[in-house]
Amino acid sequence: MADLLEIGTSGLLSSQAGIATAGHNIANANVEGYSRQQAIYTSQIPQRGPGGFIGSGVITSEIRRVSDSFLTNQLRADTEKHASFETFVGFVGQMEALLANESAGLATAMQSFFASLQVASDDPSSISARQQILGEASSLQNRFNTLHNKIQSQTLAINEQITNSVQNINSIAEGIAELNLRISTARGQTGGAEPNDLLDKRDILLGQLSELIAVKTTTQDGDAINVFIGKGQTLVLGSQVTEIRSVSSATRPGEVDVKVGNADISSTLEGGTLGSLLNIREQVLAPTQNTLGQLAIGMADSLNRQQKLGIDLFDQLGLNLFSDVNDPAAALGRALPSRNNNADSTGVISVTIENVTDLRNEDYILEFTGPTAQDYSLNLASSGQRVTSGTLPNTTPTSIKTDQGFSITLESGSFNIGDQIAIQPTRNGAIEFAVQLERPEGLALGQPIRTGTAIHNTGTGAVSPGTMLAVRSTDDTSLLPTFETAQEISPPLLIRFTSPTTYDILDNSVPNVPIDLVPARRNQGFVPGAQNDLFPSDPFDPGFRGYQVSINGAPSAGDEFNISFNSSGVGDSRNALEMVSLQSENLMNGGVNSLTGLYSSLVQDVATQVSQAKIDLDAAASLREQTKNSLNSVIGVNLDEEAARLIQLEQAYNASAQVISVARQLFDTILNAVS
Amino acid sequence: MRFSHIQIFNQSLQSFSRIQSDNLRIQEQISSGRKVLTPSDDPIASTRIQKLQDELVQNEQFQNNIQSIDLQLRAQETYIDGAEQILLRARDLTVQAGNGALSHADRRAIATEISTIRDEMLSIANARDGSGKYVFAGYQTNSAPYTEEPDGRIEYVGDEGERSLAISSTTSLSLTTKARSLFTDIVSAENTFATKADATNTADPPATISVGEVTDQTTFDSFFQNLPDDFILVFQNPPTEYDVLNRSGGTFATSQTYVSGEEITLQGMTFSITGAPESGDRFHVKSRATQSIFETFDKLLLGLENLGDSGPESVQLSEVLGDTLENMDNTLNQMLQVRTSIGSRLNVAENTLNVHRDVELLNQEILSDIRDLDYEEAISRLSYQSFVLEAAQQSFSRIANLSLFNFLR
Repeated sequence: MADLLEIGTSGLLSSQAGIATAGHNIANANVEGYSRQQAIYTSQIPQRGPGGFIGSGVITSEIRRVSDSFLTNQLRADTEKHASFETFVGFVGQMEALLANESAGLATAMQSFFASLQVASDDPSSISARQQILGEASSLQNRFNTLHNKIQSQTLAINEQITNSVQNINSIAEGIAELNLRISTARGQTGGAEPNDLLDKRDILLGQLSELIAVKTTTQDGDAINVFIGKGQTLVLGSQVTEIRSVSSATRPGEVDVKVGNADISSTLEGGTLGSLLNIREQVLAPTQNTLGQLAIGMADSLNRQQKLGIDLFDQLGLNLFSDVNDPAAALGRALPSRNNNADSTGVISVTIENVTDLRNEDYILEFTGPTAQDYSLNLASSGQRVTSGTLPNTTPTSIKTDQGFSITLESGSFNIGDQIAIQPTRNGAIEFAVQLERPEGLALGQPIRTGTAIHNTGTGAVSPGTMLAVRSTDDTSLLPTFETAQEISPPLLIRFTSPTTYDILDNSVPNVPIDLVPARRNQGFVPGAQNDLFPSDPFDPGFRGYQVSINGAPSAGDEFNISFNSSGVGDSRNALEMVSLQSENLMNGGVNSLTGLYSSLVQDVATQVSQAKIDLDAAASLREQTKNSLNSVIGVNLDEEAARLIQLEQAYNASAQVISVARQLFDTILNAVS
Repeated sequence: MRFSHIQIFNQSLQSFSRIQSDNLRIQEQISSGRKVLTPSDDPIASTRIQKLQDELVQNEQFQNNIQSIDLQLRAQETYIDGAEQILLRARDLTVQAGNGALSHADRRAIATEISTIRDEMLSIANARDGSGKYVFAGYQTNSAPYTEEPDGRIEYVGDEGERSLAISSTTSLSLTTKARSLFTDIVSAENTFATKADATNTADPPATISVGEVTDQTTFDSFFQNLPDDFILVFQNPPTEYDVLNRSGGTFATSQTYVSGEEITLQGMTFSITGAPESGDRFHVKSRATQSIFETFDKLLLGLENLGDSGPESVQLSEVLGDTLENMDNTLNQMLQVRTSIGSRLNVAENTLNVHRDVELLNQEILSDIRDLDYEEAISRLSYQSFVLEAAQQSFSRIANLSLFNFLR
């Protein structure tokens, strides 16, 4: 009879355990990541009784946590991808909106600028048309500067967020390591019972971690979960955490590198928010800022060059419209020696833009590789591919030529073996873009030369208006002799035909008293009917005059043409038209893009990346939801199920109580029989 | 399949937020009228949109350029038309002057009117546009292409600068007419010459050189035929003598004695220099086959005013009148040629403008196709989505209310 009491009690106890578990489940029904628990019952070992084995009740053998490690791992991977795309779409989408915006982007500003040049070419002496050009130029400056600043602040925000992510990763890793310890302790104390809620907590932490970065896990001895990031970098090993650090970069001011100890692991981290942030910084922000700089430098340089070939309303050769791309401060700002360089390295480096067509949107690293401190190698920062290498002479200043549109000058001092200098030719181009010309009269819309035909000519020869090639020497140190004297060309020339097939070129400095040039150029051959260029176009030829004029048709002997300074040529808009033509000329990226084309390809490039990422984000979101659903359908609490179980257990409890009551009645019956 | 409580809520929430974000997007599309809101919505379409917009802006610029060309060329045409009218009047007067019944005094009266016409012609050559720029001046639009010298002669001081504007991505069209081709480069009836005192002469008051005339056309023609050359008279120190230089180099004669006002004859050309030149002063005698309309007027005026009714003078007068008529006809011819050139440019401009307008229409149509929203479709999409949202909300509240606990009372 005592057995029946025990059997009843065991039923009561296990029903209580079951009701408590159901209650726990109901209480945690809305906790994200909670795995429902089940009380598992086993019948007790039977005892030998009359006629066979009689059962001896029930025992709660285990409170089981319903989980699915495959789905949990899958969810982690999906979460990581989703977070990565979400970060990408968030940051890069903002930038795309900025670049493509009609009132903030560059497309309309560039168009308006070139349109204002077209308007002025119709009426080049109109001050208001010229003022319009300067106005459009300064709104162009505004756009360039604003875009640069916005990207700069995005870069800052991203670096801040990298630092935050690193801190979060470390604190989550601490939590996981601590849980590893507590789980193994709990198992030890209970002799192997599962600390279900601790396991849930660890899974939740791992889920949070995978939002920040892609993780790989291994289980050690059935207790601890070890966590690895990047290319096998240990983050958590048992109860030990290897902290990662964000350290401000030695070569890139304002940016942070992610390090373990002293090893830079930035480039190995991928996935999650942190991986995505690092990727955006390297693959999107820096190239975009560089491309904007490249465009600003291309604009400023090509328009300045054209402006210098013209004359303004005061008959003076044009001055820079935009600030010189090789302004000393700008040139020095393009080279950033690493903080880790030898303390006694005194080298000062400047970077000069040589040619905007060859310029790329890349960053470079200049490294002094040894064996001597003069041996250098210049590599692409992105891929490490070598651009050039060599040995510097011992004297300064000395220059390194590249085929990337810029040259590097060691202005003074020297470096040591192992020193690194980051070379960023285009990074600040867009913020350095500024309008320099102040007076609208200073716009050089005309050209310094004009040609004329003598009134007495009898032949049909016609002289071209002339094309400007250069006003300065090839090394850009001085004006060509032709343009040395302001408001003159030295000398004005007279072309006199001595026969239909020969002509003399004479110095016409004193009108009507032409004299020989030095050296004399008489009896030049002429081909009637063809276009005859009068001068060499090669700037290194001693006969180079900085301009080209051609004569065609059939002049007669005695016919004369003259080339003179275009004084008071306020109605001349040839140089303005040359400036307009810069808009469609394929000046950029080795002759592939025009100025406006470069910008549209930048916008398109960013838009394509965002569009791809949006599609990926949608896919990742639905994958994550699916996995989450599958997992929840396994581990989540169903209230109806719990209600049913409560009813079931309540009845079992009542029944067990009834068993005890029966045992008592049986006992009473015997007692009554005895008394 | 098993469902958990949290799953039911999560899923419903997700579908609400998905439908709501779809609704928001349609709402944005409807309020902007655009199908493609940001380039990443459809990178390919947005590239085409950008290209079409660029083309439209450029197209508009070309149309503006053409309109500006059209306006300016038409203004030039009007001036040339005026020049032709007064020239025809001058031609009538010249014919009238040839009437033998007219006296010298009658011819002087005609000369007065011719002189007025000459001044009118000068004001047409120096015409200015609305903003005060000289229409026929080449590059130097701030200074008149023709100036009246102190001695009354009209000199061409303009340049041959042309201004052109782009009318399409490959073509540009000149919008200028050179004063020279209208008034100066006119084939003359006979080979002739022009005289001019050098601008650098130092004598004060300056010595002047007469217009001169060809007194021996045969000698002059043979000189001209062989090699049209100019002479430069250079006064020596002391300025009582001068050398005659060839423009092509070389010296024609040295140490000629100078007498003020005395006729000088060189290769059939006769002219005179009056005044006291300084040493180093130069005078140019330029032979040529062309004569400006102003020189034609001047020579006519000289003839009408000075030539009397005597036999040799009336022979000379009829020669002058004959040459003048031929020169005027040549001028009219020349003006016609210039008008033809303007007309053909106007034609090109108009044709190109029509092409641009067609392209603009077409581009706008394509642009609208790619970029603009189909409102009917968008609104029906919106109402469908709203319907879906309502249905989801209703079914959610029904499902959420279903619970076994409702019955455990």
